[in-house]
Amino acid sequence: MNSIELFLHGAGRPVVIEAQPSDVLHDVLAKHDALPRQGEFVYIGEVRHAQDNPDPEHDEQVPADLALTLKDLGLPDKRHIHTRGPRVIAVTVEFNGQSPHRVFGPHTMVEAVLVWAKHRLHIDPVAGAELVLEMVPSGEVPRMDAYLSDLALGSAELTFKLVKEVNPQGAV
Amino acid sequence: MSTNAQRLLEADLAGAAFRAGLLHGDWALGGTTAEIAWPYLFTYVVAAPRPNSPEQWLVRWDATNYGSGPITGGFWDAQANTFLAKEQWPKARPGSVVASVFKTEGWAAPGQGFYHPWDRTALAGHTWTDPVWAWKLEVTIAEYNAQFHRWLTSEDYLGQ
Repeated sequence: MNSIELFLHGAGRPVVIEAQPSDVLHDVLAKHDALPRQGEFVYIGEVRHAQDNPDPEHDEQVPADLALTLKDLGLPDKRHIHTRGPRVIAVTVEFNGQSPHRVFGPHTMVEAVLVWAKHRLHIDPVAGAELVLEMVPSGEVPRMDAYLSDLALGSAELTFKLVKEVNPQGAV
Repeated sequence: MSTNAQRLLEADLAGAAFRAGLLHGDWALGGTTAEIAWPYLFTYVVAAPRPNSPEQWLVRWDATNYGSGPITGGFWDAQANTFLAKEQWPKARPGSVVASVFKTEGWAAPGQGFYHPWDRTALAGHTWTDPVWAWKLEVTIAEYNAQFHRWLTSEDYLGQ
């Protein structure tokens, strides 16, 4: 059986790894020194609940069973393994004196948080096209395809500000 | 012998950030890493559907000094083997960041670079003062393509 290319998050910078679909997740993580420790969990793929249905206050997600094979976990399609994460990540987005709050799975992309935040703040997608999420307190603007697990670095909380993207020279 | 810049680029093209976007269908590399005619490489950046507009935009990147400073690039006409004619560059809502980055008039390298602090042709003669948006070592070829994919799928992007 051909090996598959996977992306391992949560054990330092995200890295590309290869494994067989028949490999057991526990063994793959052990090989890469990425087994979860006490109180840490592993998630698979990408959760888009907040993007597809932004009304619920939290994601319904179950951590991955380490005893299953990569094939059984759907990894040949889902591709991403998020290890050593908290059970959930509580996200607050600050904007114009409001600060909506929601609990996300660690395998949520920033793009999903942005969609949810605009929905909760009743921001029109066209009018708010230039709004992006800036991390607090670092001030960094993460990529839309960054995962919360990569930003939280083991923490169970993240705070963003919704800010207008600028082209800093300013002149158009 | 490969230069440091070439080795850094090859490592980033094989890295998780670039490969993930590629597998996600956000962009594609033109050819293979082995086929790169240094310092130029091509990527196809996928765009949101707009009437009479391409599904993806071909960008030629000039990766000179890759890893130690901003690179540059431009939308490319593969048939003519030159920069895409200015009038064919992506359009965006006037006043938007997307329109600013892709503008083809009124700066040093119109139609041959991107008006943004991550493009070295735009840095010359300007003071890009805001550190939040400045180029930094962490800005790899993956970040360039991710940013362009975001702009080309933005509500502000109007098509060709």
